[in-house]
Amino acid sequence: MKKLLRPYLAFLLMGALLTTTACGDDDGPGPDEEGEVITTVMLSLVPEGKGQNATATISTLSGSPVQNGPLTLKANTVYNATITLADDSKTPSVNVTNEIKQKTNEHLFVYTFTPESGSNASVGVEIKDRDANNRPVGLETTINTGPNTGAGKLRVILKHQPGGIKTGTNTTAGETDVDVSFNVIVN
Amino acid sequence: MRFLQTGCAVLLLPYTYTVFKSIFLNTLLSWLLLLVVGPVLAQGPLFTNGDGPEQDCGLTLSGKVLDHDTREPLIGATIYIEELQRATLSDEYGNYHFHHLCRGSYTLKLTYIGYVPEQPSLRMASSTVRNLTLHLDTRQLSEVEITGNRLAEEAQSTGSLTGRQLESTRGLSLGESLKNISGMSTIQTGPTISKPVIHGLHSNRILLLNNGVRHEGQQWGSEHAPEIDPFVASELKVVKGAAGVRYGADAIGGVVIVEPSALPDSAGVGGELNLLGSTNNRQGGVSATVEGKATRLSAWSWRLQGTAKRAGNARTADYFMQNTGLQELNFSGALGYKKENFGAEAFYSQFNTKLGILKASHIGNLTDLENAIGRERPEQTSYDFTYAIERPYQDVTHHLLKTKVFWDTGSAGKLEFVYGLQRNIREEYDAHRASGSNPELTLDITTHTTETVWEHTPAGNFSGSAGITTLYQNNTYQGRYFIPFFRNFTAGTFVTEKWRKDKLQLEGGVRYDYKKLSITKRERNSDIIRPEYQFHNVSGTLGALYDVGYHLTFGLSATSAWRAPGANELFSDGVHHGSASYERGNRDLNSEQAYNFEGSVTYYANPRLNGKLSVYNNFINEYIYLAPVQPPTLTIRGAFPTFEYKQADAVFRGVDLDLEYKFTQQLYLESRTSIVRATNLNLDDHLVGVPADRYSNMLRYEPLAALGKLTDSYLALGGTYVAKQTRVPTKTEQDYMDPPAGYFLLNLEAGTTLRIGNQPVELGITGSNLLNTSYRDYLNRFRYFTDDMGRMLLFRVKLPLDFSTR
Repeated sequence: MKKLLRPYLAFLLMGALLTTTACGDDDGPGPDEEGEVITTVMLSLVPEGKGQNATATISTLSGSPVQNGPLTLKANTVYNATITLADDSKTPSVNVTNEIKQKTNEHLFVYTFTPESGSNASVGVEIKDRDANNRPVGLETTINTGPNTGAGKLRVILKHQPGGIKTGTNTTAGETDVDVSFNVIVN
Repeated sequence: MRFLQTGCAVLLLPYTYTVFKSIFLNTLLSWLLLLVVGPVLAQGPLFTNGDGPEQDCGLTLSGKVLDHDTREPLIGATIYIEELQRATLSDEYGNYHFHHLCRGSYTLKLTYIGYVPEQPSLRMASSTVRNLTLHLDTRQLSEVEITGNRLAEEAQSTGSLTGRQLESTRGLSLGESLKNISGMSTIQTGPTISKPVIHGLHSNRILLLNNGVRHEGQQWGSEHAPEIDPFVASELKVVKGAAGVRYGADAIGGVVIVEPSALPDSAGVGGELNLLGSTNNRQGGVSATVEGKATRLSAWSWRLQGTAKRAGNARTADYFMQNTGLQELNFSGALGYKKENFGAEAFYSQFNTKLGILKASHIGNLTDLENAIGRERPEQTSYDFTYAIERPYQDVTHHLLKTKVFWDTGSAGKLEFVYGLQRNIREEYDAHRASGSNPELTLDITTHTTETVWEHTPAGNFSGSAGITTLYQNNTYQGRYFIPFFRNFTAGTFVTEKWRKDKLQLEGGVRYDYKKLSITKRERNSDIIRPEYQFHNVSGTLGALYDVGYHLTFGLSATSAWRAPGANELFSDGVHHGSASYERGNRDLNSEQAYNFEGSVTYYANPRLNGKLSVYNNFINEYIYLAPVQPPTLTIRGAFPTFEYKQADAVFRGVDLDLEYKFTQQLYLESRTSIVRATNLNLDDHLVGVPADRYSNMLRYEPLAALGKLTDSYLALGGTYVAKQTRVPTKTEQDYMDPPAGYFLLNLEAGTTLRIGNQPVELGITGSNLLNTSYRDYLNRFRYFTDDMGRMLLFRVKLPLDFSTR
C-alpha cells in the first residue's frame, strides 16, 4: 500500500503524463532482459577407480535445446556426477548452480533413465547431497551403469519448491525450472 | 431487467404529449398508472386529517380533469387524496369520482405526465363537483423533442445499469458489475482480474468509452483488467454487437460506456461518501465525492472524487487462495465552465492498482500444468488469510486527461471537440528465484485522441451528426519481450443520420478509418526491424425501429465494425505464463471485419409481463484466433504446445432474453437469459473460450410505503445458473482440461434508507454465492488451478452530503 499511498506524487505523475509523451523510440527496444534463464546444463561424471571421465552439455543458446554429443559411459561402472547450470546469455555468464546451492531447501533434481527400445542398458542415479532438512538435492549424485550395453535417455528435471513445499519425495510439487533429456550410450 | 421499469418511466414521460390523442395509448397509460396506485387504493384510509373528519362519510367528490389552455379532457390523470391515501384515474371523458368521503379538509395531488403537478386543497362539507385543470409542462415538452416518441435511441440493443442497480454493484470491479446486463459475462484471471465479455467477445474486440474517451491501455491481454474506477460512473451502458460507425475501429463485439454524472448545475456544495466492507476477502473501501457550484448564475462547477480499496486473499468454499489480494487507489477531478451556448470541461483521473496473482498459477511447463489440473486444490504453502501481496503481481497506473469544448451555434447545430491524453504503465512482477525489486516487464503506452463532432439541428424528421476522430499511440517496454515497440496512428470520419416519424425510426451511418502501425522490434539475432502496416476500412450501420402498437416494438439492425490485428497478434513470441503454451505471432494477418445482424422485440408497459427478446448473428470475416500448430516448441523447461495466430471466418450468434413479471406492485420477478454459440466456419468447429449459457432470476420485493423510519427499502433473492460449456473445439486440441460442470449460485440484495436527523443514510448488502458452493467457471483462466470464490457478503453505507447553507 505504501507504493499506492503517495497522493503527493499525483502532480508529479501528472507531470510525467504530460512530459514523457514525446519520448522517442528511435533506438528501438534494448536487448531482451529475461529475468532469469538457464541456458546451459552440464553433467560431469568421474568414474570411481580407473576410467575415462564423461561430460555432456545441453545448451539453448541457439534456440531449441541441443546436446553437444552423447554422454558415453562404460558398463558396470560407478561414477561420481555433478550437474552445473548456467545462464550463458548474459555476459559474464551467470552461475545458477551457486544460487541453487544457497537455497537447497527449495530445490530438487529428479533423474530418470529410459533405455531406447531394444536396448537393455540400465543407468541408476542416487542423490548424494542433502539440504539443511536432510532431504535430497541432486547437485551431486552417484551414477552406476548396469552390465548391458545400449542407448537411452537420462532425463533431468529441476523442481523449484519454495515456501516449504519440498518434502524430498514429492517430485511433482512446485515449478519446473529445467526439463531436459541427455542422450546416453553405455558401451 | 430494471431497465424496463426505468425505461418505461423515463420513456413514457416525454411521450405523453404525442400520445394523449390516441385513445388506445391512453388506455395503456391508465392501466399503467392504475398499477402504480392500485396497491395504494387497496390499503384504504390509514390516517385522517388532524382537524378530523366527522361522522358523515357518504360524500362524493367528482369532476373533470382538463387541460388549462385547451379545455380538453385529460384521460388517465391521477388524482390522489393525500390524507386518505386514496387515488383514482380520470376516465376516457376526463371524469373522476371519489365516493364515501367523510367531511373534512383534503389535499389533492394531481399528476399527469407532461403536465405540471398541482396540489389543490378543498374542504368538503357536502358532496362536491370540482373540475381540476393542469398546465402543460414546457420543460418536459422540450424533452419530447429530444426523445421524440416511444422508440429507443437506437435499433441496436443496449443495456444499462443506473440508480439502485448500479448502487448494488458498488465495490465490485467494472467487469463484475456489468454481469448484471443480459448478454454480458466476464473473462477472469483468478478472483481479482475480471474483464467484460459482450456476446462472447472481449479484450481488444470491445471498446471501453471512459468519460467520452476511448480507453487505451494494454487491453489485448485477457489478464489485463480495465483500469477504470466504477465509482466514477453514474451509468454503465453496453452497446451489444458491432458498433464501428459511431465508436470507431475495434468495436467488433460492442462498446462499454462508463458515463459520470454531469457536473452540478445548481448552486451549492454537495457530495457523497461511500463505505464498503466485505466478508471473504475482507475488502475494505471508501469512496468520496465533493462537487459544487458557486452561485446559480456562475458558469463554473467542479468535482473531486477518490476511491481507496484493499482486499486480502480471497476464499473459495474450502480454502484461501494464496496471493489473491488487491489494492486500489484512484482519484479524479473535474472543472467545468458552462454558458448557454458555450462550454468547456477539463477532467483528470488516475487509477492505481496492485493485483496479486494466485501463487499456484505460476508454473514451469506442461507437466506442471497437468499436475495442477490433477490436484484437488492448489498447491500452496499457506492456507491463511493475509493482505500481503507477493510476487507474482501486477502494478498498473492509468492516467487520463480530458478536455472538452462545445459550442452551440443555434441554427447550425452543436460542435463538440474532445481531446484525451492517456498514459498506461503496466508493471509485471514475476516469481523467479532471483527476482530483484524491479518488475520483469514494464509496458508503457501513451495515447492521444481527438474527436470533433458536429451535431446538426434536427431538420424535419432528420437528426444526425458527423465527425472526425484521430488517435496517436506510442508503446514501449522494458524487460522481457512480449510485444514490440510500436506507434499507431488512426484517423476516421463518420456520418450518421436518423429519420423519425410517428411510430417509425430509420437510421443509417457510414465511417471510414485509416490506420498505420509502425513497429520497432529487436529480433532474436539482435537485428532491429521496422515493419510498417497500413489498414483502411469502411464500416456501416442500418437500423429500423417500429412501434406496432399493442405494447410492442420491433427493431432490426445491421451494423459493422473492423479491427486491425494487434501488435501481440502480429509479433508475440514466447511462452505464455500460466497457460503452458508457446504463443507465436503471425506477421501476415489482415484486419477482421464484423457484420452484426440483430432483430429484437420489446413488450413494454404491460401490467404484469414485460420483456425484450433479442436475436443476433455476428459474422466475423477473418477472425483472428490462436490455433495449435506442430511441432511443440522445445525449451530448457521441456516441450510446450505451440499456438500461432491464424484467421478464419467465424460467427457468433445468440439470444438475449430479459423478462419481468409483476406478481403485485411490490413483488416481481426479473429474469435474464444469455445464450451464445460460436463457430469457426472454416473448420466447422466450435470456438474455444465461449461463455456457457447463463440464466439469472431474481425475485424482488420493494414495499411502496415507508417501513417505519425506513424508506426506499428493497429485498431481492435469486440465483444464477451457468450451464456446462459442452460446445468446445473437437477437431483440434485447444484446451488442457474439460470445461467444468455447470453451477448454481444463490444471491441476495437488500437495502434501505434511514434518516439520522436531516442526514439520509443508505444501507445495502449484496450477497453472492450464499450457499458457499464450490465451483469453477469455464471463462476463468485459473480454473486449472483453483475453485472460484465462495460466499461473500458486501456491505455498503452511502451518505449523500449537502454542505449548502440553507
